[in-house]
Amino acid sequence: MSTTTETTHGDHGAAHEEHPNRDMTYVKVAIILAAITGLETFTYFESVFDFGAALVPVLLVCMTAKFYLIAAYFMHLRWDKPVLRRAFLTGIVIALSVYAVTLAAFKFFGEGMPR
Amino acid sequence: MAETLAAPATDAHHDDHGHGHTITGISNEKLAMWLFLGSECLLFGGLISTFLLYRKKLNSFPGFENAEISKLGAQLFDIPFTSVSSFVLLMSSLTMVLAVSSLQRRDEQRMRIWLLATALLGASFIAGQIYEFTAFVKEGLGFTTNIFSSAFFTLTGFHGAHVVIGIIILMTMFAMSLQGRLGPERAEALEIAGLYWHFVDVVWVVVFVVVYLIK
Repeated sequence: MSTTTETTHGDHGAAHEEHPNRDMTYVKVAIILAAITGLETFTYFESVFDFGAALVPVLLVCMTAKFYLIAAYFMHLRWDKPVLRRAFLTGIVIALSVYAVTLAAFKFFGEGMPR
Repeated sequence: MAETLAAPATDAHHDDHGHGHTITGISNEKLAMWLFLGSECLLFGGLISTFLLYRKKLNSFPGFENAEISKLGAQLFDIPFTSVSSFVLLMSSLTMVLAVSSLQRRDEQRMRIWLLATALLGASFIAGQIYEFTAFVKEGLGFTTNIFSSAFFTLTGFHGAHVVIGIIILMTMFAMSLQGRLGPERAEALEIAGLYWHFVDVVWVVVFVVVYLIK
């Protein structure tokens, strides 16, 4: 009986080791995400600061950073098995490739949509 | 001989998280969710691409006959309001991950609080979206007004539907937890639901920039 109890406690310990408390990390990531969202919103107010030609690159960098932070930390890809990262990245890469080609076919880049 | 027979039996055991050993080292349920999310990238990629193609087609919207896309944000979208909605959805991702973390540390009471907070934040986001849609319709921009509005409502509407499904999943898990059917041994089920929720958030990160902010 005592052996069973010890084993159970051992399992609990293993579970805690496998799931370390990352709550503070999550809160820090959320603060960074909120700050980036603030920056994104700030770009809207051109009268305060005009980003000019840098607007789109700045927004795309902000978007990519937020995407990475959520996927890596909140979705645990940073700590999970690589196969999950590959499954998700495969979907993203295929989607980006297919739709980049589609947009190019419709002449989205450059002269815009054909009439 | 006894050891030889015991080995496969150990392999077949379910581990502490409620899933058996698999060839990938992760549960089939979790892998299936990731593959599903990969396929969802294709769905939302298609909707976003369609919106990008048709965002310049405002012509038939009253007051926008000669509108330039650069004025779209200023005249049509309420960016500060949408920014608050985006912030609310981002924070719901934080509460979701804290719910999963609480259950993994066997703190079911705290898990329920975070889970409920996530559902409430999600509901707030949906309320904001309904308000925004209503405002557009009152201004004369309906689903069939022009090709731009069709693309816009389809993209944001599909995302909203995903959020609603997420809220239903969360509330189901909350009810299961109250009934004692969502203990620490099933933490992975909550983690999988969390993956869906975070994906919905990640999609909005893209939609917010592509639809609302890029001029």
